[in-house]
Amino acid sequence: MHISEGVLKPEIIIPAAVVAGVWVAYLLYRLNFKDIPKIACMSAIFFIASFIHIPLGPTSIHLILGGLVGAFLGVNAILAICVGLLLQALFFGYGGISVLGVNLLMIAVPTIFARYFVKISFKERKYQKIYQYICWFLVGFIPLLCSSLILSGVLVLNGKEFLAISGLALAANFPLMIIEGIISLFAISFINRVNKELLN
Amino acid sequence: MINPSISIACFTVFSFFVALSGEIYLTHFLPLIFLGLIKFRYIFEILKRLVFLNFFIILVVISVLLADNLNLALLIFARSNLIILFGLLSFHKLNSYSIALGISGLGMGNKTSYLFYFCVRFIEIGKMDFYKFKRTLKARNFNHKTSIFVYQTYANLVAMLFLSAFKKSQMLEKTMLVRGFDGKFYKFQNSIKFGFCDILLIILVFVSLILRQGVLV
Repeated sequence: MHISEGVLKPEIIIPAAVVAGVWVAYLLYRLNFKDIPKIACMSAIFFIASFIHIPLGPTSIHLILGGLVGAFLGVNAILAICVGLLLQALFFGYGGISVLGVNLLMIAVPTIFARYFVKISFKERKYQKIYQYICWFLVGFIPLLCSSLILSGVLVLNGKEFLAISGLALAANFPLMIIEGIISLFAISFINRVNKELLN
Repeated sequence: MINPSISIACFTVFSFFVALSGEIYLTHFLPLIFLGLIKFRYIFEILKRLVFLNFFIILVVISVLLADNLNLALLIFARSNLIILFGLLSFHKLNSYSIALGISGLGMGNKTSYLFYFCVRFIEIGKMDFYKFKRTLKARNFNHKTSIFVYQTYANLVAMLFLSAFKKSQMLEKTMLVRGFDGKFYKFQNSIKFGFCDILLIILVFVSLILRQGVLV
């Protein structure tokens, strides 16, 4: 899901770095000290997700868990994912520092929607159970769908030479979207059974 | 050993300059040669990792080659590998706490320092929890294959990681309150040393970026 260093044009890297930098600085400014442990633990989960390999046919893919992080933190998920992405860049070489802004806007911003899906899943409705399951699936599915669309869009904006790779990236991420949706559906339903207060 | 704060700062400067440059020069290799000499013992491990990280870059290069733009393909390949290699050489085998300390050494504020420090701590705890859950699954003869049952099991594992992380974060929050936390990040004295190698790395990074000699791509 990460865009590697050296691939993008300065016209994309610089504005993305400025927008992401200003946003992160603003979130840090209004961050309360007592919220730091919660954000740090979500950031750690986002980092650990890269170790969790889920089988898919003859191969396996690692989870992103951005949707679940967003479901618990809301807009502060941007901070948690920023820390996670920076640590992934330094430890493993995934992504990088110059593309941190692009990767952050691509992965973290769509996770804010996840909070909305969790909120609406608890509204009283007809067929409540089915409605809840759909919402919880979307917690994992929608952020990743948006991230993949942004990834492809960024690659297309980078030049017509990147059309092939942008199509491939979108197609390759589709199974991951479904798996993340299933994982978030089962995970939230587990948390709902064990500790419902966390979701509220 | 290079000071982690200096490594992070040099890596940031180097990656931005190389990523934004339209040409690759021979002088760009100067800091890499220096870091390579320092990490000479691990050079094969690092190169192996570099080959693995080239998967996405190769796909991008093929995509650009399909559009008949050899020069851009070579530029992307060289730029990506230069930056990734710099990062791998700088941070290979570096303790996670050193990174957290390195970030706090950059003077980005107490909130950022605490965020990174706690994150690194939670990563260690979370990794232990994750491996413990995996061992339990293995002990119970869990069959790792594509099925809805396997996905549900992994989802439960993820949920347990979330619950355990939340519990630990709440405990930490209470501990901070009990200890009268005032938001100040205290460091050990002399925890970050500044030596000859750090100065040399800074000089080499700036020389490589200013002195543009020998166009490669």
